[in-house]
Amino acid sequence: MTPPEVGPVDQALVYRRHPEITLTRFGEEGLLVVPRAALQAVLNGTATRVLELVDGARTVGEIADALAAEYDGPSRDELLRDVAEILVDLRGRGAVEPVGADAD
Amino acid sequence: MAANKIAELMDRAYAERRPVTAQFELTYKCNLLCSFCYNAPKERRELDGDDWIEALDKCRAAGSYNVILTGGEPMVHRDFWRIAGAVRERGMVLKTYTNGVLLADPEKARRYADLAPFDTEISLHGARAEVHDRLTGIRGSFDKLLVALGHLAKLGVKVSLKTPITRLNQHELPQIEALAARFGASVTFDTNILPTDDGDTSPFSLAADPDVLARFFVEKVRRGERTLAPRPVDKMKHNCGTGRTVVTIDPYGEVYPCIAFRRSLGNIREIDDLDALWQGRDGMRSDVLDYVRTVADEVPRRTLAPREEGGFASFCPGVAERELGDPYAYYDAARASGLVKLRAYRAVRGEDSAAPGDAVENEVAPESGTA
Repeated sequence: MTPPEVGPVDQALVYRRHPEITLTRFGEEGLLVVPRAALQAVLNGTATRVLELVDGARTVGEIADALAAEYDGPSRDELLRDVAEILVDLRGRGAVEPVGADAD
Repeated sequence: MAANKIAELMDRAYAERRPVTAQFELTYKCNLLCSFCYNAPKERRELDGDDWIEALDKCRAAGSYNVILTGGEPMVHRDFWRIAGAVRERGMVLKTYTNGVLLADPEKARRYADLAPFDTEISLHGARAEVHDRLTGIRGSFDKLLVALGHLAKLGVKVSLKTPITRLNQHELPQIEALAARFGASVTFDTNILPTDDGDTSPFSLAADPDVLARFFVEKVRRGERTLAPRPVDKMKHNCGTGRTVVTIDPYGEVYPCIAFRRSLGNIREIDDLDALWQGRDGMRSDVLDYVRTVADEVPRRTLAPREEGGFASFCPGVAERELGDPYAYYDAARASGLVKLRAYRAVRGEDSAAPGDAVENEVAPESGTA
């Protein structure tokens, strides 16, 4: 899959989950269902965890911080980039939407 | 591919014996009188909304995420909306098997669409009212269904039409496909006519002509609308997910390993921990679950592999047990389904000069369930 286009990361951005989606854990992975798009997609461990952390209040930066505390290895900056890419992808699938006046 | 990754998750669910799909037969009451209905109602109290929501939570704790509301006609259950709403509030996937008649009411259609169901399976028995209504036993049911399909299409609800092929509709299958296309719905043709849950075989009088069925499959392959290839039954590890990836609960609360195997595991109102029962933990081992799981594993080798058409046969051990008292017994409808598709397969490959359709070249690919 071609990685989504991500410009400079706005760490203050907040996303919320679309209320109609479902996310079901299968071990590390997750099965995302977006009913109105009749879409089912398997998310890897990181994307699943990101979607679980999206709660309409946490910023992109705070999600990256949470992952940094859970994962050994990647730097916080790498995780921030991953989180941003994942959120752009999830937005494209209709799973999340940005909140707040500055959201595009 | 996405489908392969989902299949991998389902393989995992199978290995973990996780009942990912919960089928709730909310009620055996129905607003139609279909002549081939397989339900066998009893004189018992049906579960109410509170009972079903408790059952839902037990299934969810056992690993279910996909809930199918069926019946009878699920929408005639007094608490259908509350139950369906509870499925969605818990972040579970909602599917409904319905005759669609009540969705001719625009308010009900809107209320249903607001639930964001993932899929809605609706039975369509013909391309004309004369055929559909004859099978449903209710005049006007076809017209109401079309109105419902119009509402659902406008509301963006995904609809999968299901047509059991019978001798009454076997000559209008292309017209049924055209009707489905009008509403943006998919249609699946089911070649299996089954006995009722209490073993009554009278539905078999509606069985379609095998020549017509074979020609139908050949035409679909020639148009590139489906592939036809045998399942590798000599390598298959299991026939189906009975007792593993699916759990069924009837209107009285009896828990079954699937929709077809009517061996009760107990009543959901008396089962505190469905997960423990399903996993055989805490001294809750179930002989029924052990048995059906073994059957599912053995069917490919014992029942299907010895038959030339076995790779094409639609075989259900639950139906075999209902009809013949033996879950491995190769019942007539299974044989017929296999022979029809084998015949079509040979015709498509030019291997049978007496079979319907012209010889054409086609790629061979895994078959996926019904037509």
